[in-house]
Amino acid sequence: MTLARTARLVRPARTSVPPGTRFVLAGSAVAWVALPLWTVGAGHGGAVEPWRAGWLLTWLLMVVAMMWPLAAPALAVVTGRAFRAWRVRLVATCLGVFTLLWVAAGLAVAVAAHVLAVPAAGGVWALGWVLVALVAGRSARRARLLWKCTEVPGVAPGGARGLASAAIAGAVAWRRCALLCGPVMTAMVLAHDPLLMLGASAAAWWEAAHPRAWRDPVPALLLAAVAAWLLLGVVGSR
Amino acid sequence: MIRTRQDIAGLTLGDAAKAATQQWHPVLDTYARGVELMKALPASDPRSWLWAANTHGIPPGTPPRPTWNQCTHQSVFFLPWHRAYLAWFEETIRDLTGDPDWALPYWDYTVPGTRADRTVPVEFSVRTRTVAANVVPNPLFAPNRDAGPIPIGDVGIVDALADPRFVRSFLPGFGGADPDRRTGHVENLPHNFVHNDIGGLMGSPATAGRDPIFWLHHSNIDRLWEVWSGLPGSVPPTAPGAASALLVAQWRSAVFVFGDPASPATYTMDQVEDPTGFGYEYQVTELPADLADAVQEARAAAGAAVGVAPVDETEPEWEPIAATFNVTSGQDRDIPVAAGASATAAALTAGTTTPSGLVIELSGVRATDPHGVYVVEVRSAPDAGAHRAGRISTFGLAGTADEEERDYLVDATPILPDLLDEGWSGGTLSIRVVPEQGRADSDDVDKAIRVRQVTLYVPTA
Repeated sequence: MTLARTARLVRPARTSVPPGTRFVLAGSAVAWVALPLWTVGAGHGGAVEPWRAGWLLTWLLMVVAMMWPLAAPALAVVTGRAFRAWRVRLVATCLGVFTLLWVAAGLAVAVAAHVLAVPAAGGVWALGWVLVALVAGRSARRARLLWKCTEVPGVAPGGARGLASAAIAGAVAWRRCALLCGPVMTAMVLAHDPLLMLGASAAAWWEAAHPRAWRDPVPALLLAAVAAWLLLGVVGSR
Repeated sequence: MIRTRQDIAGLTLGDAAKAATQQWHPVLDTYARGVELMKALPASDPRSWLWAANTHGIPPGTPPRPTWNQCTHQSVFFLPWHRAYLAWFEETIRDLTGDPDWALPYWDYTVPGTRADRTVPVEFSVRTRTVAANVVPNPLFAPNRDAGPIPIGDVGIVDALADPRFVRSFLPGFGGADPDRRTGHVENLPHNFVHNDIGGLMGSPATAGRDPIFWLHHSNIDRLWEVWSGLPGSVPPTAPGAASALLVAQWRSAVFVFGDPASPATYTMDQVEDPTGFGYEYQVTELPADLADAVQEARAAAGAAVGVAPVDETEPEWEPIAATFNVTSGQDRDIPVAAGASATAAALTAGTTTPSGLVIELSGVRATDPHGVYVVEVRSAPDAGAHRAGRISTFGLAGTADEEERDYLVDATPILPDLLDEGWSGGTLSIRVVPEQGRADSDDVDKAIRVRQVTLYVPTA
């Protein structure tokens, strides 16, 4: 056996990131760096009132940082099914719809929080929603939904039909993410706590990589740790 | 304790009259008693027959439960999920019959031989049987099965076993593809075809588990996984380089869940990958000599070096070059290669290169009452002769919800030399999907399958 062949046999499992989706993960990484710089630079620390300027950019950065990696499998499918000449356009459409829907959902929640006069820091709000996420994690129906997380509807390879189907694929990917990660993302709308963001992201990404792990303790422990952290903040503020 | 799942060929009486009047082999007798006991339980009982069947699929309109309707098809988890499913079912039979030694038999329709090998065993086809001198309804009987033998072309296992990889990245391997959501070789043939051929309850995933022969069919499919695993050079999905890190993580962490959601029976992938952990082994996991030779020859012909794990670099990258939409079976459809699709497509249409492979994808296929098998025909020009690119089993489309869809990949590479010989150089191809002739349902009026999209793929030049 040649050295080259031996090296190929013992090399680690190949990357799970198709070329077309690498920029999505890169974008997420950039957002993770940009977000603290922006919030600190803007001087509002971990709390941004949704009805003030700057909230939208913060929320967009959070969506990019936390949710874009979860769109990667759908984008990989779109990439593989698109004509090469249409790949960028279809992937951009899919990702654009996915992102736009998250922004719209965030706005809707923010408006609701404003109407309900939820305090801007949102400590209790965040704690409540993280507890909802913890309870939802025990749901068998949610577990079933996780199994279908990577299913993507058919995508036409180009043209107007391709753009439309890529948009639908983005919407379907968003809908699943919203159902699965909705509670923690609702918490994030007001509470831009870095630890909450880190814990919620880690839980969501872990679940995406282990979708058939029945009642997996890892995401539950991550969310429990986040809840404990939030509880300390709530108690400390009183 | 290791139990042996036995070939039903050695257990069956082999004669319908004897099956109706004589005592059955204890393995089949226990199975019949177990099924009868399960059928006597209400559907709300997780040990009941309907619960077991509904775990696989539910007819449209059935109120769902969290652990029902799990049938894992068109997936890399097809084999492990069904293995765990059988183990859970087998345990239920043992519990209800009080026979701790009982193991589910398998029905090996793949052995070349007499017609009877491919006909549903008589213990499943007689309406009554005799127990303690009393004639009683046979719990293993199911109505509307096709009484004839399964066509020999529908039980071929050489092509499936010849693939040394469990997963591949575009065309599937033995067990599926990476990314997931493709039908693995063994799921397609013999699994899907045998379901269709038996028909009746077996013809739909929504009802298949209600036919007692279902469990022996899947016992054989599970055995074929063991056969494949034992072949020199077979590469499981967890071998280095065999699959993406994401798929390996998904695979290793999978837990299969059955029964009452409040206190379910759970099986980890570690358990599933080693059947002896479930306490069973198969009577035979070695192929007959002629089949073994055919598999080895096919592997050698495919260039797969036995004992060496293939790596990703051995697989070409496939890209779409043409597509058409909303095709109905029986309809001729020209598919012009889109020169602007890519450099590969441009080179093909300019005639500066020829493809080294051709794959046809039928995606978003829907039907309500289709024929069992359709053939995909390809013509190099509208007036040229038709070449049979491949065939698809429609198992999964009948008896399921109207919105149920299936995707199929047909590897048309074997007919590519013929297309090139006829002068096709990357321009328009003509495609037609038609019911296969010579089958039990061939004379039926085609009730049509509708294909949302037909896409042509070639390896990137």
